Order: sequence, then structure tokens, then C-alpha cells
Amino acid sequence: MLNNIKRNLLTWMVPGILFCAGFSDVHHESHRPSFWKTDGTLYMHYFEEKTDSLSGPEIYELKDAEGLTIWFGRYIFKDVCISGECKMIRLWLFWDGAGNYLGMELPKGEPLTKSDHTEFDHADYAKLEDILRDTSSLLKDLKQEELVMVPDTINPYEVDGYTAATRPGLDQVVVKDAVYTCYTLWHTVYGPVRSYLMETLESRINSGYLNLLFKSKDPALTSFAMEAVRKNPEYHSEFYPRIAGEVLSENHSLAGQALDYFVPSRMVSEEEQQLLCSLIPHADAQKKYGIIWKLQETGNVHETVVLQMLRYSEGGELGIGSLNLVYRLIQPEFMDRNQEMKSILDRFSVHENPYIRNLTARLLGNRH
Amino acid sequence: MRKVFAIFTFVLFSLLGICQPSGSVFLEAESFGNKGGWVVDQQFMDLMGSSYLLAHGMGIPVADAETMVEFPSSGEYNVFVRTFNWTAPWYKGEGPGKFRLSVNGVKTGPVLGAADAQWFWQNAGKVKISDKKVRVGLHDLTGFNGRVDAIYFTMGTTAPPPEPEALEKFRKQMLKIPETPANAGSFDLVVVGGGVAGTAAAIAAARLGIKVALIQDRPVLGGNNSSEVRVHLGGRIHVDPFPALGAVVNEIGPTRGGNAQPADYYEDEKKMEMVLAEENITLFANFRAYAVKTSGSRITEVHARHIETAEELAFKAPLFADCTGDGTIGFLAGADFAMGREGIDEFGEPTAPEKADKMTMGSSVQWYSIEENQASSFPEFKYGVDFNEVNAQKVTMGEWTWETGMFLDQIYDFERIRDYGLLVVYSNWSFLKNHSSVKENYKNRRLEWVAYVAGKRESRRLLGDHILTEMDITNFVIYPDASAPTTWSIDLHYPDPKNTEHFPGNEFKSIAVHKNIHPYPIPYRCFYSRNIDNLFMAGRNISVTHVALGTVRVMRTTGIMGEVVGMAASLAAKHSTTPRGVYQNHLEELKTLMNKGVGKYDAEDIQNYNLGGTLGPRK
Ligand SMILES: Cc1cc2nc3c(=O)[nH]c(=O)nc-3n(C[C@H](O)[C@H](O)[C@H](O)COP(=O)(O)OP(=O)(O)OC[C@H]3O[C@@H](n4cnc5c(N)ncnc54)[C@H](O)[C@@H]3O)c2cc1C
Repeated sequence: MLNNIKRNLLTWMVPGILFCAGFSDVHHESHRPSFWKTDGTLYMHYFEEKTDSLSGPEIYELKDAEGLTIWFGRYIFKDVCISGECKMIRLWLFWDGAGNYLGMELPKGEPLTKSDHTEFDHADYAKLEDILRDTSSLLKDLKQEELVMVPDTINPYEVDGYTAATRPGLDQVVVKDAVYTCYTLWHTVYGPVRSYLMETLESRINSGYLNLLFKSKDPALTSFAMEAVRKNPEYHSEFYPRIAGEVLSENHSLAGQALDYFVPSRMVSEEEQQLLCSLIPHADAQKKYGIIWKLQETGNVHETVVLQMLRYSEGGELGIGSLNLVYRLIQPEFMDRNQEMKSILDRFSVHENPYIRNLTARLLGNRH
Repeated sequence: MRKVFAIFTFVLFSLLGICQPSGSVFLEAESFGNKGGWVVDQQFMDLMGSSYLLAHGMGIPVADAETMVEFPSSGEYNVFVRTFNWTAPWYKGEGPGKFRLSVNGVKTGPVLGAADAQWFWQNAGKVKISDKKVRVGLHDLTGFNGRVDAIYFTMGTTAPPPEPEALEKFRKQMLKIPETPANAGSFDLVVVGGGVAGTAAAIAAARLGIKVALIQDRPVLGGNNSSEVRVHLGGRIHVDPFPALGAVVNEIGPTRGGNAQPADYYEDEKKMEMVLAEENITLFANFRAYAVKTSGSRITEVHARHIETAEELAFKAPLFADCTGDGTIGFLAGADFAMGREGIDEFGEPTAPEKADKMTMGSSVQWYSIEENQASSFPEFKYGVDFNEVNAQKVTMGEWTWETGMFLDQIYDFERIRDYGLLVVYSNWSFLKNHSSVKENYKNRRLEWVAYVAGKRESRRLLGDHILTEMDITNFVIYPDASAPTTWSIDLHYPDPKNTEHFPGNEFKSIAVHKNIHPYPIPYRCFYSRNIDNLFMAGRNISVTHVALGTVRVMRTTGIMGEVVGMAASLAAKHSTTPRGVYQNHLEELKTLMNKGVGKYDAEDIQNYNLGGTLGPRK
């Protein structure tokens, strides 16, 4: 599959190529984006976008030595107006190897400007970055003509709502006096280029590539990999242990995504359940409970896994607040045949803590 | 055994029904030995005199309820059944709550439950009794909330009296309920209401060594946070200036958030076992407090009735805590209370309306559906609220935004409010399943759960030595008796304007308007009555204005209030004083307890969901 892509690429084997020469006047020089790297191998994709004939037909991709994408970049040349007064914007937009918006670079001496021709200041750029990072921005579902409320007498397409009022509710989420710029850039970031990038990235999915993605430890790439495994069940058996490992990630959103991956249909086997269960001693309280609830959702937790949970309860790896949940996992026949489980429950039934004692007595059906 | 007093006593009553002299038999439906699929509904006991059986099948007829009855003699009996047509306020024709009576398995008399707009004794025809031991049954015909309070078999021709007081007398006489309730035992503190507030109050007091009776009118604890109502805990615990508060809330609180989720989310068993683990608590589940005795400005007894057996008990104690949510105990004792919205002139609250009015936040009948592998049908349900393409709610669940009754009385109109909640859920669902342009999407969806215990947000607020106002909170006025911190925004609900467009005056959806606050410690004086000397309160019925209720009403906060009340009660008991006495003479001791907390199990903090936004600690 990779070959396939390569065929479409004009490969520039120029490590560290400075195709950005002339764009050194970064809008926020002092905060040069962390993604910024030019070390690697630069590839060019031919990409023709009919609705955007001004921008060139190239998307650049910088890959590292392993073949992982560092970024995709495209030079955008667009007019931000529909009729009347127009202004051109020229800039580079970048996406990461998972298709997420990374950042922008502006040509030297060509800052973004507002409807009153003043230049964007630092705060405006920062706000614009936030807007472009927001995948579910309010701008998503709006049509261009819905951006401003225009008095009847005024040309509705005056740039950036120069004379018209920004639609109520929107003014909080766009850069003041730059509503069309925000809108145009948001829809460029999440428009056809992105669809192309996602298709390209998804077409690369195979076992080797997934391994690379997981190995990268990059949160965005890891998240992309997990999503790819979710969408392509044929990779589940190979990669679920990697995903389980991510449950312990300190990155809250990665950990949540990893735990969400484990729906009942992906936790049928004893190995799958046991693996999740084995994370418990290393997990914080919230994750422990997340794992227990996941197991409960399966409706059928294997005996060895339940036993392990009971051991954790007795050993203190699971706190008292989870005992009732662990008991929900016990099936009557486990208690009949599993000696170790029986012993733990017997000890709990005479525990000095009355809550544990009572709960266990209720489970055993003979309240003391 | 002593602790679960409530659970077992009804068996004695239900074995053979209750046989009365004088050629008649009075049968309470809720005391049927086998309730089949019918459920016991006690919510409106104070309004219509009794708990009753409800056929809550969500459109699928429920299994028959049956009981054995011993008749005084064989012969022909006239039968009367106390019921009514619950959709009558909105639809003039026959209602959906239809059921029939059966005797020894044979259906008898007419279809019942579909007529009359108020509880009444419906004539159910005649029945011949040949063998004195008879099996009486209730056969639901629709699954749409038919209801039966009682059945009266008589050789005479007169139905029991309809008026509440006369009926109450008649009921007691027929069921041979003693004039004086039996003594429930002796306690230091009687907590009425086992929601999060009452449960936490009982546990805190018990851990500090006093004897507590906890009276709860349902078989489970937790109130709105139980699997019967399914509201998740909100707000924060472990907050300055008393970070030790909230330990009990953490111990009893479910570990997972979400409104209107499957029952197991709410971990009823945890709350129950936490209470039963306390030696000093005697739990009276299924008992509803309905009367008080007072002497001067003190409560001397609370009387409670079992919701199935009608057994009555008297609870004596020097101290009582009203955690009913409705301020019922205070109200019965003559405590000062407020209800509705204060006008701006009363306290000068910026958020208050110009003029006082009776509006409150509403109640919710939450619900959800599930997707199944096969198609399922749902009956036509059209009883006065019509849904169409424009006004239908094309959703698969309804949680807190399904809220109604803001302009009705949350006490006296409560049955109607709950019923309207049911009506709109069924009517909307019926439209979606049978007529909607998107009915294909609902083909395999089945209504899995609809609450019949409505979640209430607001009714009476009992007035204390301090009434917490909006400015106390927003100006961060710290009183010397600062105690339980409230953290949730001032979150007040109004009818959803979009819903008003389609259902003016009959809205069933709401919006919330939030005003964030700095975590604010509520003065202890909001937790006891200003004119009933030995009455504490915790929960949503504390001494606050309507606006201030917007923040304090969430359940981690009501639980923390419960902890403070439990602590104060232990001090009042120790020093033989009143709740006010604790404020006047033992405040420092209370602070010591609040600093220490009453956590017992060193449980990890698992209350991390639905914390709500705050402005952060006030510098
Ligand atoms: C749909 C909905 C969504 C909400 N969302 C949230 C949320 O997200 N988070 C949050 O924390 N709060 C939320 N709330 C608010 C919160 O649930 C209420 O304020 C709650 O009532 C506060 O708890 P409580 O203990 O005071 O009362 P309750 O939970 O009402 O408990 C009172 C208990 O007393 C019992 N009782 C009443 N009268 C008697 C009597 N006479 N005798 C014996 N027992 C009696 C009742 O059956 C009940 O169990 C919501 C409320 C609703 C309805």
C-alpha cells in the first residue's frame, strides 16, 4: 500500500530542505510552534483542489527516518471575500501524521489583517490557533452568509463584517473583526485537504505501520493508531495489549480512549479480561473503577479474573468502595467450585469491618 | 434482624388478607402478597390517603397481582375499587389505565381505572363468594399505569366514604389499625428521609455515638440518587474550609456518573450496606412519616406508616432531622417555611423576579430506550397531548431536561405532575414509533425504563435562624458558623422556550441558567428550624431562598449538609441542648468535628464525575 502512495509522490530526498525560506517571519516568532522541524525526508503529494485553484497543487509531507509523518504542509493562497472588497491571504497550514491541525506559518511581512486593516496581534493569533484546533467549532455548520447579521442596506459580503454585526453567539468564538478570515481558514483546515490526508493515512494502515505509530509514543499518532485498530478489527488480537497499556497513560484523553476501546465484544476471552484486570494495581482510583465497570459490562467475567479481583480486594489494591462491584461479577457456581475464592469470601464474612462483613454475608445469603 | 425491621413485618399481614366483621372485606392493594408486575407507589400518600399499586408496564401489561383473602361468610358481595382515570386532566374520554378484578382466577365486573378524574370508589359489580378463602387478583390490561388503592367487598350497597378524613377513619377501623401507633424504640435522633442528605446525616450521627432511627419511604436509599430516580451526584466534596467534609458522601456515593442510566449505576446496595453496617442506626425502610406530635415548640413524636402493610409506628426522640426534601416534618409541626420564588423586594437578590410568585423548579420523569436486534411495537397513545413532526422530541432518552410542573404546586399537584411526565413520554414515544417520518430509526428501539418515582427539585424550604441568599454567596459573606461548602453554580431552571412554543403552559422540557460561584460555606443556622426547637434539616429543604437553592440542592452538597447535621446532633445529644444551642454554645466543638470529619473506611476519593464548574477558591 505504501508503494502505492509513493507512486503518487514526487520524492524530494533532501534532508533538512528549506522550502520555507522566505517565511522566516513567523507571526509569533517567539512562540515558534513545537511541531516545527525540517529534519527528515520531504515528499510531495500532487493534490488538485478544484474549489481552490489559487493554492498550488502540492501537499508536502515530512517523514522521519522510520517513515512516520512529522507533518503535512500546504501553501494556501486564498481570497477572503466574496464580492466587494477582497483581501488575499497567503500562508502555510500544517497537519500532523494523524491529520490534526498543527499550526500555520505566515510569509514575511504579510500578517493577517482585520476588516479595519489593522494587523492581528498576539492575542488574535492565539485565538485563531484555538479556533483552528477546535474540531467542532461553531463555524463548522454555518454557511458563510450566516456569519453576520447585515442591515438590509449593506452589501452582505463586506469583508469580515466590517460594517455588519457578527452573529450573536459567534463573537465569542471568532477573532474580533475577522470573522470571515476565521471561517475561511477553519474550513480550509477541515476541508478537502484534510479528507485527502485522512484517506492517505488510512490507506497506510497495516501491522507494521501500526507498530510504528504505537512505538512513536506521540499522543496524536497513538490515538490515531487506536482508532485505526477500532475500525479494523483484524488488528485487534495483535494490538489490544498495546491499547490496554495506554489505559495507564498519564494523558487523560489517551487513557480514556484506550478504555473506551474495550467494549464487551472486545473483551470476550479470558486473556483480554485478564490483561485489563492486571492493570489494576498500577492504575489510579478512577481508572480502577473504569476497568471494573468495563468488566461488568461484559456480563460474563471469567472465573480467574474474578478471583484476581478478589485477591486485589483482599490485598488492598482495590479499595472498599469497589467491593460491591466486584461481588456483582461473581457467579454462584464460582463460589461452589473455586476453593481460593471461597476462602477469601469466608475471611471477608468474618471481617472486622462490618460493611465488608455484611456485604459478604448478603452475597453468601446468610446475613449474620 | 432488628435493623431491617421494615422488610419483614408485612408478611404477617399479607398472608391471608384482612378479614373484617360485618359482612365486608377491605383490602389494601399494596398489601397483596404477590404483587406480580405491579409496583407500590407511596408518593402521594399524604394527598390521597394511602400508597397504591401501579401497573407500570411502559405499554406492556404487567403480570397479575394476587392475594388470598378470608371472607366472613359466603354470599353475594358488592365490590368497589378505589381508582381513577389518570389522564383525565388532559383528555376527556376513557383513560389508558385499564385493569380488571379477578376472583379465584376468573375475571369479574367491568373494566376499571378508565373513568373519573379523581380518586373514587368505582363500582366493580357483584361477586358470588362460595368458599370463604378466596384468591383476589388484579389483571392489568394495558401496562399504562392503571392504579388501585383498595378494594372493598360488602354485602351492603354503600361504598366507603370518598372524603379523605372519613376514609382515613374507615380504613383504620376496617384494618384494625390501633389508634396509637406502636412504639418504634428509643432514639437520640430520628432522621426522616433516606436521600443522600438523610443517609449521610444518619451515618455521621451514628458514627459519633448516638442512636439513630432512619425512616425512608422506599425500599432503597438514596432518594434522587437511587436506581428508582437515577440522578447522578453533583458538586464537590473535600472543599475548604472543611476538606474533611464529604467522607461519608464518598463512601456511599456511586462510582460512576450519568443520569437516566441502567439501575446498576446507582449502587443501591452500597448505600444500604453502609447504613446497615452502622450499629447505631436502625433503618425503617418502607415507612413513610405522615404525622407528628408536638409539645410547645418541640416535636415529641413522628408517626410513620408502612407503605405496604399500613402498620404504624411512633418514633420518640429529643431530636429530629427533616431530610424529606419536601420539609414534610417541619410542615406538619408548624415550622415556618417558604415555597415559590421570593420577589426582589424581599432580599434584594439580583436574580429574583420583580414580584414574588409560586414558580418552582420542576420534577422529572426520566427515561431511556434501548436498541434491540428485533423490531418492537408500541401502542397508540393519544390522551390529549398531540405530537407531530414539528413538536416531537426525536430522541432516544430523556434526562434532566424533561422537567415539568414549574407552575403547579410541587406538593399538592404532585401526582398530576408525575402523571404528566408519564403522559408526555408515552405520547412522544408512540408518535416516534408509529407515525414519525423517522420511525424507521425507532423500529428496533424499546422503552427500557421510565421512572415512576418522579425526581423532585424544589418544594418547601424550611426557614432557619439564617436564610441563605444569593448575595451571601456572590458577595462571599462568611459567617462565624460557616460550615458545609456549596460548590455548584446557582443553577435555576425555566421552561424551555422552544417547548413553550408548542406546549404553552404545559411545558415538559426545561433549560438551566447557571451563575458560577466561589465554593461557599453555608452557615450552620440554615440547618435548623427557627421556630421548631428540636428540628434539624438537611437536603433541598434547608433555609435558603429560591435563588440560593439553585446551588445548594446538588447531592454531594446535600450529603455534606447531612454530615454537618449528624455532627451537630451528636453535640446536641451530648450537651442535652437544641440545634440552636449548638450554634450558641458549642460552635467551636462543631468546627472541631467538621475539621476532623466522620470518614470511617479510608476510601479512595471516587467522586470525580459531575463536579460542576466553579470560580475557584476565593482569594
Ligand atoms: C432530574 C433531576 C436532575 C438533577 N440533577 C442533579 C445532578 O446532576 N446532581 C445533583 O447532585 N443533583 C441533581 N438534582 C438535584 C437533587 O437530586 C435534589 O436536589 C435532591 O432532592 C437532593 O437530595 P435530598 O437528599 O435533599 O432529597 P431526595 O433525594 O429527594 O431524598 C429525600 C428522600 O426522602 C424520602 N421521603 C420523602 N418524604 C418522606 C416521608 N414523609 N417519610 C419518609 N421518607 C420520605 C424520599 O422518598 C426520598 O428518598 C437533580 C434533580 C432532578 C430531579
